[in-house]
Amino acid sequence: MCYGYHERFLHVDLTSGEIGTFPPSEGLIRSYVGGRGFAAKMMWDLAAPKVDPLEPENVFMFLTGPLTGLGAPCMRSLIAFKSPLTLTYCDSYHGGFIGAEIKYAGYDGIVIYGRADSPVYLYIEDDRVEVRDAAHLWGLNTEQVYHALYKDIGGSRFEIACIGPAGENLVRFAMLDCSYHRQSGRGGGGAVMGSKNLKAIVVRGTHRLRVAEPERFQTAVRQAYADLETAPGALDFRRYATLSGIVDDSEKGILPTFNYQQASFKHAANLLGQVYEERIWLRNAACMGCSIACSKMGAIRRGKHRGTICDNVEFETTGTMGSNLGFTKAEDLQYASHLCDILGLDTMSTGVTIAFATEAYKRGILSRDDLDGIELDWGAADAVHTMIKKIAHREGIGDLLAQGVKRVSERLGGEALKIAMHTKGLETPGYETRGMPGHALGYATGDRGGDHERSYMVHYEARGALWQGRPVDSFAREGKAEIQIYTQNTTAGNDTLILCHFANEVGIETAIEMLNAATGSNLTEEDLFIVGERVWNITRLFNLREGFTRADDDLPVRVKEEPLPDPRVKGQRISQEDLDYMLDDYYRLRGWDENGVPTEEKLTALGITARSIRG
Amino acid sequence: MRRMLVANYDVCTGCRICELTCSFEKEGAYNPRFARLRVVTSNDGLWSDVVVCAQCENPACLRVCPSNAIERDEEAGIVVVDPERCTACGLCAQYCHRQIIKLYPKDEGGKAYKCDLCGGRVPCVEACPTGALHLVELEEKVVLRVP
Repeated sequence: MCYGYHERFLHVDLTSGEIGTFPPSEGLIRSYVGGRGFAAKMMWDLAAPKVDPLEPENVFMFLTGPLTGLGAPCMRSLIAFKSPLTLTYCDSYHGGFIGAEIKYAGYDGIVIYGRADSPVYLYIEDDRVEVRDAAHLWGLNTEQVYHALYKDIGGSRFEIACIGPAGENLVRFAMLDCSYHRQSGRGGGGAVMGSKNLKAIVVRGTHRLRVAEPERFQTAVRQAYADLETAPGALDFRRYATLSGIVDDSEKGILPTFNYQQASFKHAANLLGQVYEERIWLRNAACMGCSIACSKMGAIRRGKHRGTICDNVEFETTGTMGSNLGFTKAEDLQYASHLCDILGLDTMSTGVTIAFATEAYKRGILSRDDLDGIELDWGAADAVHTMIKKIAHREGIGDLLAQGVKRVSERLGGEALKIAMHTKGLETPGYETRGMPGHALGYATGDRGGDHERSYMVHYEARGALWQGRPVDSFAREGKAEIQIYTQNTTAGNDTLILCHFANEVGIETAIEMLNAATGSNLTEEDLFIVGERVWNITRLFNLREGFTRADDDLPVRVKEEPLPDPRVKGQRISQEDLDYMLDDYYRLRGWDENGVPTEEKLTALGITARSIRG
Repeated sequence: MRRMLVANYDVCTGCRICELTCSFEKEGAYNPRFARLRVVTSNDGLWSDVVVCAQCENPACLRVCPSNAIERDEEAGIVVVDPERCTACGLCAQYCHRQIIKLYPKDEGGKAYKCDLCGGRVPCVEACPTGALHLVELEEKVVLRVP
């Protein structure tokens, strides 16, 4: 028996109704560990090259890590698919409880192909797997789905992941919502589920998960919780969720504002965690096995949306949809975020897309008629709330905006291209990068598009963290590729477990000790780093196979051409020349050629052989 | 004397660390379904609570057991199941007010199991990150007094 794994994936073909299981491919566990490693390798192996992401042939997977469902803190699960937004490889993570339940049901993951004839949901209880009619769920928002299924399905606790109307309507940035409001937000996984007529999955299981060395594992788990109990970051998340740094980010000139026209927001203090703590939040809520409890459940108590019960606004939502849309009231942003949660939209892409439309309207690129008469403006909360609903239901202008910033700007052409904030089609995150070229390099090279979860250089470039004992020159392009690659690989290694990024103060030694004690393996920190590197190489191969080139490792025109106006970062931009300098450096250090193609030597050194990369 | 766990729902975050700890302690493996306590979260997410065995003064499980497999251990202050005498009839689970005495799956014999406070060590209490669980001791019978 292989501890930490079932060595078994559930396979469901929604077209034929065929259900079965299959084992991991040879070397998968050893070379890719789990989570994001499994996603990278299995997408390479199982996704049909150049498939249309919204066609039945696209594969859609739920995957877990070796420690998911065990007593180790904060181990999550993910979905993987080819993204309808970026056409790249994509994985997207969620907390909550469903990953653990998939493990208890006896699977390391669920691999879904095909398209059902009519709306269905997947019911999984150990070996009992049923494709059930979901006609009564179709059209419901995520909360309504939960309540309907809680009523339909009796017995002991079960977990649900579902899509809202946005996923059904194939909005390209529709997300997956897990009970209760933990999301896989990025890349449009909700649309892929919608394209399969798959409204929800319901899971519960009775398998008891054993570990290889119980006492050693327990000791490591105690250490991990002790690490978190004294960690300043974790304690900050516990009190203020992800919202304690908004004012600081504004002062540093890294807070996207008015569709990234500037990087500081004079009302930033209105969107701080402290405000929500006083006016909205009622309790801390945690994911499986998490002692931090960064989620805050609460209720809007004033204004026209009072009585709305909601999960907390996140930092990324604030940076893309709050300051970026000029919201000055916490309640307004809270309601916008809540609408996205229940309608099944990624708040980040939604925020950036509406910010784009707002600026386009103000510049005369879109007319009032184009916007169905909606007066989009900075801070115009009602107009934004209306627009969110129109996008989810693809009504009028919403049908166009549902394509995401890249496609909309290409359709409009001209000036619109200059204000479109995306890389590879993924709307950029809640950090303005012009004052952080290393962080920007991460967006440019991101395998699912420009993204904050792949690597995080904000600490080094805006918060004074030392790199190898030395301070980092914020605005320099020199030396940034090295740090970027280090953070990309370590993050990818970490994501194979899948340890929540908010719990990364669990020391890497402790995390690896938990892994080894649980699985009986003997991995080192360096091994996990190499697994991370392997992930980056195989997802690169995936995207090359899809036709991506060096030219796609790009930054938004605005980042390249428009200098920032804000005090600390005044005049900063990242020119094409700067980007090329960093890309050359990055490819060289990665062992890729000047076009960003991994060399044979590099692939051989990583053990990615011709046989293992055969598609 | 009676001893029992008490849960404070006001600070419970629904993290299920108590369930994981209990399942590992008692089963040597992880699955909250086998824990001797149960975390519940409201459908709207506004509260969580832990359902614990009250080691009842008036235990329904004990009263309905046809084979006298459930007894009060006066010294430890708890209600215990004797697996030797348990016939897996399931009446105890059926009548427990909180469904917190549970049955093993049929293919594992179907016998009853419940919280025994781990001999007073209570690892669940120790593991709770917010102090939502406490072990308390009631010296006398609980009596309602009308002033």
